[in-house]
Amino acid sequence: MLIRVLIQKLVGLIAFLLLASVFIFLIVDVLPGDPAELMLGTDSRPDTLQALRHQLGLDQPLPVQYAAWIIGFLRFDFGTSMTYATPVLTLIAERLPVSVPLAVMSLALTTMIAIPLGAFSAHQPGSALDRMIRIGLQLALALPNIWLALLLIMSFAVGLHWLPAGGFAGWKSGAWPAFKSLILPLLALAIPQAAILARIVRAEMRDKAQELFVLGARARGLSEKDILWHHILPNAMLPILSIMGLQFAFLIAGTVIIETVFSLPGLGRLIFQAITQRDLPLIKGVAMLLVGSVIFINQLVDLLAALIDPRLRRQSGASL
Amino acid sequence: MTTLELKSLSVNIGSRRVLDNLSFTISKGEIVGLVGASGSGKSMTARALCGLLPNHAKPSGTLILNGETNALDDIKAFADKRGRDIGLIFQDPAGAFNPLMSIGDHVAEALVRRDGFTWPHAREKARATLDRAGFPKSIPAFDRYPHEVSGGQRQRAMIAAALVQAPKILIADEPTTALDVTTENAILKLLKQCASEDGLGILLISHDLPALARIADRLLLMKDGRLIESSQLPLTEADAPELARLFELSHKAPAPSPSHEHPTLLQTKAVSKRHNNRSGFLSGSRATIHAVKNVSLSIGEGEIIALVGESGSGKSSLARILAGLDRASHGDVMWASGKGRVQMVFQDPAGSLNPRWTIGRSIGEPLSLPADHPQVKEAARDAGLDPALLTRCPHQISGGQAQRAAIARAISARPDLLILDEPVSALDFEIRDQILSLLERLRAMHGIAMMFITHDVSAARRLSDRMIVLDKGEIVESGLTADVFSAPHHAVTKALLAAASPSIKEGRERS
Repeated sequence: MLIRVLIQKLVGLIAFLLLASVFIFLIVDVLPGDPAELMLGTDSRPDTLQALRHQLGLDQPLPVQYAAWIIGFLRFDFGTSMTYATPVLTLIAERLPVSVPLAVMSLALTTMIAIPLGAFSAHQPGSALDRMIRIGLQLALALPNIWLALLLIMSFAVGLHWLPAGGFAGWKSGAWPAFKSLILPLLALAIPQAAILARIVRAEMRDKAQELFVLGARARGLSEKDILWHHILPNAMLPILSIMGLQFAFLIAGTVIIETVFSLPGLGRLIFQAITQRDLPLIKGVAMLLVGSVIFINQLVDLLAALIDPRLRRQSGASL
Repeated sequence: MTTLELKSLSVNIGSRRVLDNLSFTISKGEIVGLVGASGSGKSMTARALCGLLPNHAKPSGTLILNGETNALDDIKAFADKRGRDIGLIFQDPAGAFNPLMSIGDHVAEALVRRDGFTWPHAREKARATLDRAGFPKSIPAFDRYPHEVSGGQRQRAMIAAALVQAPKILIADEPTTALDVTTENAILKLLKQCASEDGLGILLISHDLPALARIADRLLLMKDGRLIESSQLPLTEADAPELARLFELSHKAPAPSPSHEHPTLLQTKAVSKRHNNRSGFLSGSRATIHAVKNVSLSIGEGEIIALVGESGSGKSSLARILAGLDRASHGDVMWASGKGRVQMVFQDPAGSLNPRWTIGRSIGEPLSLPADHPQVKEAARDAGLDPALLTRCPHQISGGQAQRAAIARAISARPDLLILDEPVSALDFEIRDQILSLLERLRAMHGIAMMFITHDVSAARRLSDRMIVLDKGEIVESGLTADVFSAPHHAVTKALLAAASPSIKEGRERS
């Protein structure tokens, strides 16, 4: 059964990626007029423009341009950046050691903060602990992550000198110094997301605690702890997981701001620079990668949901 | 031998006394039936006995269990007794199961988590208990999830989950209300067996008085949180006048069939409905299910037709086609006048009313009338609903009132045909009687034709002129209701009738 779900998810992933590639291609190459003119400016000489168009392949028909781009992808050739004059893939590869740990760890941190907080809060609704947690969450929700980032820098870097205010030491300088420069960005990314997720966790767990099967479990004499871990939490996990999948996209968007604030050499900052400099091959390459990672995470979430829920498992198993 | 003795149980919620000084006993192997209108405190009593009252409810009194005295306000002491000494099963076996856990593990779970069994050992014992509860041997219980088995099988599994810890007392709160008649009988038979063979004492709570009368040794009647009558079975008028009266209500004689012929209102010709069970664009296998097969019938103007059959027999699918909510795969639905107006009333009245709308707004909606329009008030009055309730929301009125509101909404549109899908099966017997009377009156007043879908054949008998029996999507029997009752032909009809006519009732009617 699970293998079939896996294959299904993979097919879905490829289909989504193709669709996304069409959108990215059309938006970047077609919609805003002449890319060559955008890059060089309106007062550039016609022959220079023509040369650039030829270099970019813009004088080819659209489907040919698209096909060339996609075939390049399949051969791991993402094109060459206009501003860096370096293969896009090389640029991305340089940024991954910052961005991948940042994304994975902030997602993990979000979960680690949100689930216990939400569960404690839901355990005794209306208690002093619940009220305290909810006020805290409300505050964290209200903070824009850019302001939270500045606040963190002010207190932990400028004030206490515990952590660097920005920049990335690089993994070559050792795991600890590198990790140290990621701590504040991680917190700035994870805290607002965790506040959202914790509220969902609280609501879902309270909701599931009202279900009849909880009464059934009590009638069989199970302890409240067993009921919480074996009945309420697994059922609450399904909606929580799908929210986490959605949050990943916001996390990616958040890295653009956070990497800029902390001057981290990551993908978020790369795409920001690519956009300001109108470096079309680079924009397309990074955009595809980010879109791909969001789709991948969401397919992964669906897969996890199917692992937890037999209804989803059997259903998708039968439909293949 | 007395297994359980309850002494002056009272429960307060805030300053309100919801249970007042209840005392009764349950002996070894005895089945005690507990009846009462909804809101009379039956379920609260069941919850109090298991120490499962809501947090804000404050109980008092004592419970003597196996000779051991417990104070009922000591909730903590109950945690250990729950499941082990007193088992609880309840209505809606679908909701009572964790959808993520296999049926079998629900039975085995308590052994592992409470008694330190290993999973394989616990599963072995669970399988034996499932067999005892009549859960089909052919179903791999540890590989089947709650949504994959039928309602009757879920109820058997819930009974097994209660029996596995070998309690002395089982509290069964409306265990068969959600089941069709045939399954209901099988479950009641199983409970009877547990009582007589294993000496289990059972408190059986139900609003189905005839069903209780069939298997209980003793009946208790509750009203407004008090125990007002207690009687051994069979009932006698002298011992228990109120119980005897309620019993009459549940078997009121059928309405006299109108003598005139009904001109045809609606006809169906060989209507079939196929469902292709196929999902996803990569689907290879597909299963075809015939929900409705080759059904030809006609409905006369002002005629009441009962459509009966077990759950899954295609009653609701046929109703949806007649109402135009679904399209037939084959065949035609033809109105004598070319077209007709249909309204539907559903089983769960509260669920069919928008929870955020006032009752008046819901009733006025089909005709786009404001909530305080005179026509809305008239429809409410016709349905026996106090117009003062029109400003309330569904959660502020009772189940019976909600069903009246749903009926008012349906008749406000002046339908030619009113389709009622199990309109009384969620209601207790007193309200059920009132709603059935209301439907009789509406037919007399407005001459609305009705299709009355039910598995409750005694309601069908009382209300309908003609009866159509459906099995696996096909009509297996049809005829004047009185004829079908006096001489049923098909095995399914016989089973449905047998399941619903207790010997006591026959005796009562002869006298």
